[in-house]
Amino acid sequence: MPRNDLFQRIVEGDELALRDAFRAYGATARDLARRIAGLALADEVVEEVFLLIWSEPERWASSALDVHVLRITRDLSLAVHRRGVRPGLASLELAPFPIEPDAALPDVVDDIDHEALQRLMLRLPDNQGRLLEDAWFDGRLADEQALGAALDAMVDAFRSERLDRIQT
Amino acid sequence: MAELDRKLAAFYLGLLDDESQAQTERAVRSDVDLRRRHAAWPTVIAAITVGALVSDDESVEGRLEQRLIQRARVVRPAQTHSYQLLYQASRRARWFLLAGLVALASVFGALAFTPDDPISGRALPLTEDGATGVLMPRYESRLFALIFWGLPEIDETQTWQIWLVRESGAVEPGPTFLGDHEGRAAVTIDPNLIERGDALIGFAVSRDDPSLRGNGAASSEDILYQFPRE
Repeated sequence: MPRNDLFQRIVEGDELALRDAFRAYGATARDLARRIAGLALADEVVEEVFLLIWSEPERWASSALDVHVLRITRDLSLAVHRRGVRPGLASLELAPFPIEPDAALPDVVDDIDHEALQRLMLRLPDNQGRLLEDAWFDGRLADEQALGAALDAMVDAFRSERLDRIQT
Repeated sequence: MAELDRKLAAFYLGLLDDESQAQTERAVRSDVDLRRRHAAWPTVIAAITVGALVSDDESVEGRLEQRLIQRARVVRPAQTHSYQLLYQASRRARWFLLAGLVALASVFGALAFTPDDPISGRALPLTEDGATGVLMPRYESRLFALIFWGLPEIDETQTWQIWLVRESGAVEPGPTFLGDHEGRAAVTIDPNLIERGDALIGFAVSRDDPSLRGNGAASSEDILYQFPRE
């Protein structure tokens, strides 16, 4: 199902769309939450993420639903980890990321070959993959300019011919 | 500008303190070219998740999905039309649903949700004019109760029988209960019945006469229909 349709159906209050979104992105979100918030709280984090989107879809998401789900999962997981509170409480102080993602780009969960993406990250020069992982998973800020270069390198890889190979 | 460029990646990665994050957001919002230059960043940042995590498990358990859907119904009741749900249901569940609707229409008249139900807000409205039921979940303590009011009188030999409708189309008998003299009843539901892989998608209630019961089937067609409402 196209992401745009899925998001629009959630906006319209279609419970089946929420279920479809959970089935599409829930497992990846749970892996992310496990990595940051730990095994014990991961399920709760993911539940709160989808509830936030369901409760106010146009505030928390847009048609690039995959990007929003993973963004909220990461931010909520970090908040839970840092503050030592339950996900439900941490979600009360969470704010959506203010810049809307580009819906024309592929769905990172459904449309991208995950193994190819792993290889791509390993190929990034100067330990950039590790730098991005530290920033994303641990919220660690080492070198702001190097982070920018790493993100640009990821974008180049995404948009280069390698993207064609990894797009399904 | 150099300062903004330096902070930009940290902003997109959500690493700045609140004040810097707000300042950078204002700058990003006011600069269309800058946003366009970095339009792919949110997506590649999300892609770090799938690029860095290796998972063999590509699905989530039905138990979690069921819990999410139940909480979602409390937070924001679905606006889906019932025919869409009917289409999605399995053949057996569809038959059961139709039978319930026909019986209800004959017993209670037109279907209508009562907006002033006395347990609104925390409740999932279940049934119709004159007879209403709500599911009251307390997820933290895994307590689930179905509460009814406005139940019609039944014969002394009869009880009310709850039926659990599963996503697979299976229909299982739940607990039986009796209403008080004002047609009210509260029934606790075993959480293990709720939190199961084959997700629970609805309840139904029938008038049951134990002396006539056989093979687990309802002994009466007087089914109070319940399903996600319109």
